[in-house]
Amino acid sequence: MTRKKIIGLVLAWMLCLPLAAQLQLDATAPQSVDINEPYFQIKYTVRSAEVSSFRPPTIQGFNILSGPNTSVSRSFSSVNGRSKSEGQTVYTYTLEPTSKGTFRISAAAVVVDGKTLHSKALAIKVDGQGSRQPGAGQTSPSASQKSQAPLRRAGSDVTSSDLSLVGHLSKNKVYEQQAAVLTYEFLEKPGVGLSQVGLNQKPDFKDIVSQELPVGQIDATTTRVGGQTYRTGVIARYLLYPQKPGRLTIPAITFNCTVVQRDALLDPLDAFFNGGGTMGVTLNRQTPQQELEVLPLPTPKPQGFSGGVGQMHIDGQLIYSEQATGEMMTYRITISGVGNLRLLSAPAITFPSDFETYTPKVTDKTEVTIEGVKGQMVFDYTFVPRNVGHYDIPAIDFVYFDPIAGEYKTLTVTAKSLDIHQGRLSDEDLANIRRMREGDIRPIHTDGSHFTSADGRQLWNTPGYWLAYAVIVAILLLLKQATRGYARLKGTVSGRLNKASKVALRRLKSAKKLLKSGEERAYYSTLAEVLTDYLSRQCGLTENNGSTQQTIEQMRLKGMPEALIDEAADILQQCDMAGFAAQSDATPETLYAKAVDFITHFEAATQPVRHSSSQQNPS
Amino acid sequence: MRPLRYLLFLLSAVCLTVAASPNKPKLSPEVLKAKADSAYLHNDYKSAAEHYEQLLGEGVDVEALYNLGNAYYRLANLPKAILCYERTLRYAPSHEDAAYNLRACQAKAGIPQNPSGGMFFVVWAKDEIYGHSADEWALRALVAFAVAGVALLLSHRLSRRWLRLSLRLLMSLAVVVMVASIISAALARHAFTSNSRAVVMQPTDVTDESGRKLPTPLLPGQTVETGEKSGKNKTAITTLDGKVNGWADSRSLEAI
Repeated sequence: MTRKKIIGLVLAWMLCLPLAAQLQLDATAPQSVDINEPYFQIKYTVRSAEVSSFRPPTIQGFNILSGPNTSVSRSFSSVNGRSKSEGQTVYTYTLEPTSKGTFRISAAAVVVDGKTLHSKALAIKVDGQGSRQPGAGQTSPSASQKSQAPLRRAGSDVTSSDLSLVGHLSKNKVYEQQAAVLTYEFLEKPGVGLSQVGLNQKPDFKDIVSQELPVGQIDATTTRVGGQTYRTGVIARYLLYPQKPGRLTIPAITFNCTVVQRDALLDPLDAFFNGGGTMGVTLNRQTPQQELEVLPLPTPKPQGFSGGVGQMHIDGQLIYSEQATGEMMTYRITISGVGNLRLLSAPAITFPSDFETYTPKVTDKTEVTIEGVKGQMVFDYTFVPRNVGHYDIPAIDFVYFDPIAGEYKTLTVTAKSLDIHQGRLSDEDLANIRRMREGDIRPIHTDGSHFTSADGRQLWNTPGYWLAYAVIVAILLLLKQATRGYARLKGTVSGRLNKASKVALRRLKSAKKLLKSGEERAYYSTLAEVLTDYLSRQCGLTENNGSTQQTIEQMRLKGMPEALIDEAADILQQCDMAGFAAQSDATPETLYAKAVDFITHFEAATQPVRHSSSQQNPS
Repeated sequence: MRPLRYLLFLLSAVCLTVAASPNKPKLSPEVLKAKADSAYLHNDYKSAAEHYEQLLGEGVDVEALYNLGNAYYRLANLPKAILCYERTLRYAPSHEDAAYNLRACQAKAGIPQNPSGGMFFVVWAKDEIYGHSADEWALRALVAFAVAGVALLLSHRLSRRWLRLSLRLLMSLAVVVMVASIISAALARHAFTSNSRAVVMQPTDVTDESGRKLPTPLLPGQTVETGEKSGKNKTAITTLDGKVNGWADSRSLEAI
């Protein structure tokens, strides 16, 4: 093979390498597991958050404790102003080894953007000392039960004893506004193949404010109930805040459950290599109805009771850059602890009347936990002192009920003092700030996308910019040449008429006034006189008595071009005729235009002649 | 066939097969912006912010940067919103909406405002010079140069004296504008390249040289001038009004 062909193939191979980093479904699992391990996990990972479906593998030789549990993540990172987004979907099975040997798990598949990606098939070796032993807190399957828990055949019945849902309350008796945790769990016999559980409809807890607690990945364990081994895990959890005393009912809730059953009709070889061989069946399961006893808060309630129930603390802090008039300052009240924090309203504060105050801003820094809503509620009271002076913000009492102690407690934020001096901001500045604070921002721009240079310039000090100056100079030079040619064409060198021409044109304009006043004869004789004088000045003609014939003859003697002589003769004769007989072939306006044109043509045609004649006749 | 040839042929076949797998189509910037704008207008501000960030990962789009600021504002993240508006104004100093929204966010965040005092001409000149980008000044200089050239040309062509005088006056003015624009472009460019400002992203204490905490902390959303960095994650800062000078945690600052 020639060297060139080898290099070409190697380059093609190197080029394809980056492309090889395409989407794929990665299967990860330990190659070997100890028989005494309580569980291990296998994961199927694809670098995309847009997976439309997942086809589970056929798992033989292990108990499926949980799975497939789906985890989707998206991340955005920004480094030096450049952002990158990535997504990932992970399907996790938690398996329990049941006997020694090498067991095969067929390929799984996902569909991403219409394309099916298959994982590799897995082979896991189970070895170790002894046989399967029960771990702490776990039970082993009874001898009568098969060590493997194969999936049931498609179409098998799943009764309520095979799969059921139960609910537990952390407390059956609480005070009004005190939190109780409601937990829903599933109980599943091995082999049922529960793969997904979801709410049919969001529960409606009447007279109870509820917050859903994140459950995350279902962590299933095994347990024994009534002599039977079950798999169990938490599927939903709610934090309940009862709003009124009495016996409140927690209604039954329906969940949609999907169980995976074996499709016995599919070819096992095909099922092994391409995954599948299973199908999902949807079932509904309902939790039983429950009751919660809610005790009323002790009476009488103290004055200023905030409605808070739990274990709480309060703190007050003044935030400002300067104690001056016109400066925005903030009085921050932070209520922290655990309880019905999110249901608290902003404590009432009496600010001095000289302060301009705004609606308090509330920041929720709490999180919902199994112990209740925990964290901080921050109330920011913004104010602006208007005048110089000493001011006191009075102390704040915060009264809440502690259900563990069973009593009301009062916490106090001490009074704050301020010494305000004259500030720098004008009234107009303050008015602007107030208007902006209370108003909204301007809307987004929905034009298309236009990238600009990252270094902030596309024109300034670039070679193209300075070239533009040269282009402008070139264009101006071209224009200069073009206008000079046009001026010559029009008969005026460098666009200017000489003095005689200007005087003649001015006199012709004045002659027009005679026409307007009806003095036609005077108009025609003036026209002729202007032309004759013009020719006398321009050509150095000797003065004559205004005779047209003499003027024409003198022009010929001076060597004027024939065209000009004819043109002058035509105009002068028409003027003579109109002056004597009050009639002419041409209208007064036409004669006027002809006279103007003659002057222009004369300038254009006779420049050299005029120059030579002016040398002879300096006048 | 020799073994090497066979191996290379096999590798090529495998790689070409892999290469034939369809790529996930990458969205064009216009489509990405349209998606982001649509998400924003449907009040899905989180998704809008993600799409704008994705678009900005491909380059600097001033309008996307501005819109991202709006998205962060709607998500109640004022420091991020202020940062986006400051960046928008860095690339487009004459962007009126960004300037307004920046002031609005600063007012809502309780950031101390600088008073609008000072000598009128100085304030006006600074606002004019730094209120436009170097490219805008460069374009003005170019236009003024063209106007000066045309005025000069016409002043030699026209006959009327008063017209010629007027054109020469216009030419002189145009030359002055051109020179002033070139100087302003250079100043604006210098301001862009020497920018050392940052936005405070979370409440931060300021310490002096001896490590003692100063009474005035930095507020989230506040813009500061940064200086040298020390090895202990500290950056020298000065507030824009010059009142606070000290060291702050570098991790709470994000450069504009």
